[in-house]
Amino acid sequence: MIITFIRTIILYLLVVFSMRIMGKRTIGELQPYELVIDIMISDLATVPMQSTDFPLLSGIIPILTLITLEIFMSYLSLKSRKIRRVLCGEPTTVIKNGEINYKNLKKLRFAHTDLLEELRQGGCDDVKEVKRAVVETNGKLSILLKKENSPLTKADAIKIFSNKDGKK
Amino acid sequence: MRDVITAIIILVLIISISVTFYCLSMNFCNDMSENLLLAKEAVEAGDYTLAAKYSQNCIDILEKSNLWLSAMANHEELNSIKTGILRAQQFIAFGDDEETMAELGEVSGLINHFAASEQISVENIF
Repeated sequence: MIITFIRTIILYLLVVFSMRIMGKRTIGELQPYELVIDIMISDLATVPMQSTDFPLLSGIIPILTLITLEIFMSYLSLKSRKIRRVLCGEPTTVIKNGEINYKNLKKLRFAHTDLLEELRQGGCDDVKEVKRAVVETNGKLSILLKKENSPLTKADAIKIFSNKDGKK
Repeated sequence: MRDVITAIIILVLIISISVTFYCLSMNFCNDMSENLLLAKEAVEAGDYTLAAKYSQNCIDILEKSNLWLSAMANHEELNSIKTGILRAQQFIAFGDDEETMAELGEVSGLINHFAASEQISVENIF
């Protein structure tokens, strides 16, 4: 039992170290390949943790290899746009000027209802109000509202009041 | 850039550990197989003192390699090898030819299997 306890501590520290190296992003913000590596690391750590028949290195070596690969991939995707495109994909426009792009929606296997749900969650009730909606590489939907539907900004307010003052 | 340097160091460390373990395991398998073969020949010749000496050599090799071997190999497999040799030693002590040969054969098989599973080959990779 004490062996399992010690092994768990070692593997816990290793997983914490690997997650620390992976960066400060939360699960929703991870790129697909980063999410896969996260799942693999957690799965690899449990095997030698549970079974003392497996040597500790059978868990440590693959975890460390995955971390190094992750670092190399991140570095390469930072340096080369082509590699980034292969690893992370590209953002896809699903709404343009209030019109849904069904072709792109189909490509993403994104249901019409899912899109409407995402829009509602983003504070938009009508597709017509959207200037542009883009599904980002991490799967999140970015919504850019048309000028007439977007909330009032400080710049807008200054413009309005300066116009008013000018008329006076 | 600091992360990349860390990754390179980790990678070099992993590769060197893997290569070292591979060489150590191959040496271990060769030494064990050699001693097991000599033990078998001694049993066939009826020289139980010599057979006991070679089987003890196997135990010594196993004990000496225990630290790195247990960090690398499946513990169940190692236990099977060790109990196999201990059983063979008992059979040698009682002068039981057939059981000794069977036990030594089984341990040889386990050692060969261990060596085969550590070989860098397409079969093992897939």
